[in-house]
Amino acid sequence: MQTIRSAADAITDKLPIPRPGLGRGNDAPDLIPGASPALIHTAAEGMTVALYPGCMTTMFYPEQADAIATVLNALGVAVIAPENLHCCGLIPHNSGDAKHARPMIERTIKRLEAIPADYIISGSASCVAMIAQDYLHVLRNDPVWHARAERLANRIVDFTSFLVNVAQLPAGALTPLDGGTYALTYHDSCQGLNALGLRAEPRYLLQDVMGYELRELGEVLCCGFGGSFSLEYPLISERLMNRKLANAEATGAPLLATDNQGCLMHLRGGADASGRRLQVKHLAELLADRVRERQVAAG
Amino acid sequence: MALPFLKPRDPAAHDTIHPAAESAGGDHNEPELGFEDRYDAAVADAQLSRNLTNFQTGWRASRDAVMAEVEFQALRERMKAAKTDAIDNIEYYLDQFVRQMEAAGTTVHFAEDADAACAIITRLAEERNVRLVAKSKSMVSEEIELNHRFAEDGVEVVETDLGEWIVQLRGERPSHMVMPAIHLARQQVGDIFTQTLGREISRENVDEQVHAAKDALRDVFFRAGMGITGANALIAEAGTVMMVTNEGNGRLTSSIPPVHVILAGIEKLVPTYEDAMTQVRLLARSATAQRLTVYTTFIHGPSPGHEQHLVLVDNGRRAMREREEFREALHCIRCAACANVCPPYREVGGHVFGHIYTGAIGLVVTPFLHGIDAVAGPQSLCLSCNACETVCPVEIPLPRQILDVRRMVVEQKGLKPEKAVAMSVYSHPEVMKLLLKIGRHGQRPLTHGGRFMRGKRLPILSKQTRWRSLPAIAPARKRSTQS
Repeated sequence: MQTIRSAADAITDKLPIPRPGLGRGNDAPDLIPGASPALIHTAAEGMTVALYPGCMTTMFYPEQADAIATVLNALGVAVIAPENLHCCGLIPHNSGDAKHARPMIERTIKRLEAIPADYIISGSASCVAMIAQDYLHVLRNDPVWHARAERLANRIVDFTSFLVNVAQLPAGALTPLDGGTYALTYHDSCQGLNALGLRAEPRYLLQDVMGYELRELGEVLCCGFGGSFSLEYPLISERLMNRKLANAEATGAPLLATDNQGCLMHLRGGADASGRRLQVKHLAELLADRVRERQVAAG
Repeated sequence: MALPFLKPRDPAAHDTIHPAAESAGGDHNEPELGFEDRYDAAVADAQLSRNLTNFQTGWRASRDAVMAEVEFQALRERMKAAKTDAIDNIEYYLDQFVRQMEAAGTTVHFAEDADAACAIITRLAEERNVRLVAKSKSMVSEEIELNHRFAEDGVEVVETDLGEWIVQLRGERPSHMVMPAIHLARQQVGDIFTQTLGREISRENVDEQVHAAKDALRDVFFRAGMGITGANALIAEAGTVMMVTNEGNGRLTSSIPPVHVILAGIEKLVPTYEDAMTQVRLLARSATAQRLTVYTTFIHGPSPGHEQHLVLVDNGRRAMREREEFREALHCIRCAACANVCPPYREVGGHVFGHIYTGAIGLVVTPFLHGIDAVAGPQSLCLSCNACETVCPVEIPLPRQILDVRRMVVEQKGLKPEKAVAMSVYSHPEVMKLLLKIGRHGQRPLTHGGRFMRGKRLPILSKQTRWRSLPAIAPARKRSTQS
């Protein structure tokens, strides 16, 4: 076993590619668009933010990063889209693999602290919890890195909190133009609810800002994803997922929203595999749809 | 040998003892199954997941309702401050507590480890020629495997807490720190009672079951030469032990047998009576969704004419205290709320999710009390949902501590090979870029240009993907966002 482990590292170390945190990857220029005029006026107007999409978004759901940018642009916020981001280190960190987590953590700090933005924004509650909370613990015995992590922690904010607490998006700002009432249910991601303490925020966006009829899920429960947990313990993961999907279905709402790509991938995949008609979407996608609707209406 | 104490009531009982109860004292004489086997058995048991799901959903609703009556955040901060003070100054408060306990006539013993604790108690029993011991709930006695030791000496131990008695009869350990038999349905309890008592006990009527247990256990208190209880708090300023129970067996155990032994971990200290009151308010609400347990007992010295001993157990606690990242785990008041919200615990129960201490806190304390091997399997069941921390009445950073335990496990035992390979690859952004590029082309036969890779078409990982379609790798684009 030890041989396989060292062999894997030996091979990846010897490939003619830059080590994390080093080399050309970090010097790529960032895309800095000009600020567009605000469609909705908020406290965030004129700010510049950088987007940290998270590796799952980049790999599987880039349209969700687009959605965040669409919404932020509509608030008159300039969005920097940094190139050459990688996983924040959450994946090895959650596996107890400190050896591989540390360089990924340092790389992410270096990359993000170099970006001149008011805030770093992510639509992934897991990445934000990792960067804003776990980094500080991992680096607690290293004063220099800890201080850098602390500065980053103060600048990174999840998309939901940014809209509600920083921008203070007003109620009624993104209600549907056809005046209809649409029903949905919301899955509190564990990192959003338990680590970041988000409960009122997503509900404010869904109900007050967008005018959705929110049908609450019957119980507070993890969707069963847990990253590599779902690979190691597929049976538990499947049971928790089925319970979550059944709870969602019981609300009668055709749409399930959430704020975390892991849950979204898991629940969307489960709904597809079981032939359920339930749509699973990121909160940002719903907001962006309403923004686009308004942009079209405004010509 | 099992249960001779029943003989005077029902001589027939002896012939109808359940095989599981044959192991002396209902303890764990058979070689224990490894983690993988326990896991397999638990997930194959559909009843288990049903029992625990019912329990967790019911507990959550009741706990939230009863906690809404108090300022949870303010109370837990107060409790955390009290426990922080107690653990930071543990030798000072221990000294204060012990001096007053001794002045009240209690003999105090210190046990460095489980062996020493068992030796002290079995010697006390031997010197007094005790043949029957009545016990009320004590997790520390489970931790040091006291019943097992008594069984080796041929001393009979009877658990008088209903849940503990049930698991004792089944030859099991408690699966939950507060509700030892919560993994069982009433039908299973009826079955073991019928087998043990040699008469038909209802599988459905819980009242009948409770009365059957009461009848069977009542005279144990009077026949036992020793009563052993646990402790919920050691109140330093008063030299007083606080014990909370719901069944009344605790005070019978502490006051009727001629010798009373209190078994407690040294971390049970609280500085003042006021702190103990804060604990009472949080403990009952967090543990059983009650405002107050039925009995709250304060013990300060032996009953007249009785003998009282207090055994204070370290068994890894001081070592844990020296580890800054784990010290807060000593603040635990053993309410088990962390297990009651744990999703994997719901599916596999405490015999898999933990060692002797179960639930999230079990994963944290086990390496210190029982060694890294005991936690290596169970810790892998935590999916980092963080729910435990939100209900912990002393705000222990359990999810973070579990990851610290996981890191210890990986340091000592390494990652599984396939995981090590995956992590090595994933940590290299450029390798990942290359793999994604390959994947984008390779996935076409599976995605047919759609957004999913469907499990039925995948050649590998069928257990992981049969029930969950995987997302297709998104097409390459120049920019990760378009604005």
